Order: sequence, then structure tokens, then C-alpha cells
Amino acid sequence: MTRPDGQLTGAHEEYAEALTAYALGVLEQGDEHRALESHLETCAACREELAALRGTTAAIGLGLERAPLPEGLRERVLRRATEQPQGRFERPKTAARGAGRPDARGGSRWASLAWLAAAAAITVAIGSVLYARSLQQELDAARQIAAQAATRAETLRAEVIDLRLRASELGRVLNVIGAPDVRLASMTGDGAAAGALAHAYWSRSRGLVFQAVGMPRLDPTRAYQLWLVPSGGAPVSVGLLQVSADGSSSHSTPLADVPAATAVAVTIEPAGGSQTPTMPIVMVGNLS
Amino acid sequence: MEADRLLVQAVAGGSSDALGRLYDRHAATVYALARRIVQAVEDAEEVVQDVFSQVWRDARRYEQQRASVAGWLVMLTRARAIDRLRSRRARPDVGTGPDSTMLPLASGAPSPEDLTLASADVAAVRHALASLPEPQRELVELAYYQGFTHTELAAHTGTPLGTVKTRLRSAMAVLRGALAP
Repeated sequence: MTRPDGQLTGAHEEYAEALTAYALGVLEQGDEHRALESHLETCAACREELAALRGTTAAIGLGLERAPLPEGLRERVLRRATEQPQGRFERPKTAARGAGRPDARGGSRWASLAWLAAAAAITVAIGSVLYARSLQQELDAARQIAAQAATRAETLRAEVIDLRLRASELGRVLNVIGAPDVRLASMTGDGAAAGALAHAYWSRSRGLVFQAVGMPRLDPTRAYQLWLVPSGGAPVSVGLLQVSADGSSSHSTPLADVPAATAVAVTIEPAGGSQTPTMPIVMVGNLS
Repeated sequence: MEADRLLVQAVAGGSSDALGRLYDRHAATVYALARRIVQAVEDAEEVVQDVFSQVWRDARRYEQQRASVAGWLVMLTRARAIDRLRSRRARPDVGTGPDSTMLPLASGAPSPEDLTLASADVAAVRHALASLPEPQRELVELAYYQGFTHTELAAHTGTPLGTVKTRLRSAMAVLRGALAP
């Protein structure tokens, strides 16, 4: 309780200023507010002090001079109030238990019990609000994490697809290079492709792998086309080459049923490619 | 006082007649407090309407409390009236006022005031308030009737924050000490 000099006796000194503002309903939201509310959950002495301060707060309002009421206000108040539905919520049972029963001995003991019970009810109510709030925050946090995880999963999925593609390409490359019948052609670029270097591995049973660096970028209307040149007959198209920004190019294909080839060649063709190679041939190499 | 609690129980049961009788017993107090806070008659009438509307809605939540109906009404009145003040203050100067959730009494949480708030207590507190040193009385009244927080009190009175906290706390302790033990 409070001594005449205003010092708290049972309640905690460090919360006294916050508790006063809280009882007046003017404690700012924030750390101090949170700390006080969590302290109130566990400290009966401070709850009792809060109840007493709130009683004081009520007494201030009740001590005002009364004013004559405006005409017709009663009817307006009652009409508007009773138009709305009434709440059906019950106060938490735990707080009701132990509420001071009217006691024949009356007086301050009963009052004190009632203060405690009422303060406990407040605390339960506050606790519920805080709990609901913290659940909401957890839910929001979980939603955010889920959203981030979804984005991350999408990124990972793309990466996995990319890696699978690369792995399958690498597998194909290794498969071709490791074939018993593999043959290699090494080439340097001429003319428009001067400066380019390329290797082609060809296995008649497993396919062809082509890798190049230093390939000049072409006009968008033109494309590099890769050919296998049989010992007799027309060159067979392997496909169009994609050139990266760094001038590298790789191509692999499980090309089957090609007659025994003696050479690999690269030509520059119209963007869509050609049925038979036209000029110019910018790279050519014999398979050996 | 027992009558008040019975009336609230009846209101919880849906009796508009009981609400009318609560109005007859307490509307003058509610109105006087609302006038003191919001000043304008129209606003004060709105506050009275808000308060009794809330009593109608929340009577069931209140009915098991061993607390003074008058004290509950004071809490509701301050909460509703200060809400109005704050939204009025917030309009020309957005963002300076704390939001209304800051008032724990605004939530309709049950009030802890006990029936021991006898008229003797009310008179004693009124006397104690009038006897406070001016700086302390001013702080109590600004917090009570304007809903000013510690920070707002410091800014409004040009007093250091720490001093404001100490003064408000000791002023309220004096008033609280005036209540019968």
C-alpha cells in the first residue's frame, strides 16, 4: 500500500511511474508498456496498487460538479444503445473464482479481495489481448517466412532444372568423349570467324559434341550452322550453334544414323539455317 | 451500489428499462466528465451516447465484476471522450497523438474499482486534488482530462521528462492515500 509520503510499500518501485500512467490510461505503447504488463501478470502487489490507483482515478471523475442534462438526451441515448446487439461473451472463469464474496465482516478485507480479483480479471483480459496479438504477429511472421520460402523454393527449382540440364548435357558429353569409337576434330576459324577455336568429338554410336570459344557475334539475320561431312555424299546438318555473350558455344546431340563422317564444318547461314551448306565455310576439321 | 449491480445484470439480460434507470442514476456524472474533457455540448452528448451504448453491449462482460458501476462508467467516459480529443488533435497534426488503443480502459476491459468508492472517498480525493501543489495538480489534470502521455506532458509543460514522471506519480500517490484504507 501507500504511505502518506507517497512511497509504495508492497508494489515495485521501478514500475511505480509506469503504473501511475497505466492506471490513468496514458502510458505510451512501447517497451515500458510491455514490461509493465508482463510484470503485472506475475506481481500481485503491483496489481493491487493498480486497482487502488484506478479507484483513485474513478474518484476524481466522480468528484466533478454535475451538470444539468440536455433535453431529450435520455431518449436518444436509450434508442441508440438498445438498437445494437448485446455481447454474449463471458468473463474468463479463472478470474471470477476467488472474487470476494460479500462477507458479513465486510470492510477492507473484502475490499482487498475484490481489488485483487478485479485486478486479476484485468490481467487475464490483458493477457488474452496480448496473447491474441502475439498469435497474430506469429501468424504474420509465418506468412512472411512462407512467402520467402516459396520464392526461395522457386529459385531452387529453377536452379535444379538448370543443373539437371547441365548434368544431362555433361553426361552426354562424357558419354560421347568416352565412347570406344570417338573421333576428334580440332578447328580454327577463318574469315568471319577468325580467332575462333573449336573441338568436335564424334562417336557414330553415341553422337556429337562441339565446343568453341572466340566465336564472333553475328548479325541477327545470320547463324552458325554445324555440319558433319560424310566420306561420300552431302553434308548432314547437326544444328544451329548458339553463341553466348562471351563468344563461347557448345552443342551436343545424340545424332544417330549418320554415315561414316570424315570431317566437321561450320558455315554461316541465314538465321533459320539451310538444308545444304552455303558459303562461307568458317571452320572445318578432319575427324581423326 | 447494490442497486447499480442489479441494474447492470438486468441490462445484460436485455432490459432497456434497466438501462434507463442506470442513465437516471449516472448520466449527470458521465455528462459532466464528458463536458470537462471534450467541452462542446454536442461532443459531450455523443460521448454519453457512446458510453451507454457500450454499457448495453458489454453489460454481460461486466456483470460478474465486484466493482463499482460508477467507476466503470468513469473509465468508459474518459476512454470515449479522450478518443474524441485525440482524433480531433490528430486531424490537423497527424501522427502526434498516440492511438486510442493506448487507453486500456478503451477496450471495455472490466474495471477494478471497488464499491468502497464511497462519497467520503470521492470528497477526500477531490479535496486532495485541490490541495496539490500547482505543478502536480496541472499534470494530473492534463493526464486525466486531456489524455496526455508522459512525453506529451513534458512537451506541454516544458518540464523534463523525468520530473514529469516523478511528479505525476507522487501526485497520484497522494490522491490514492486520501482514499479510506
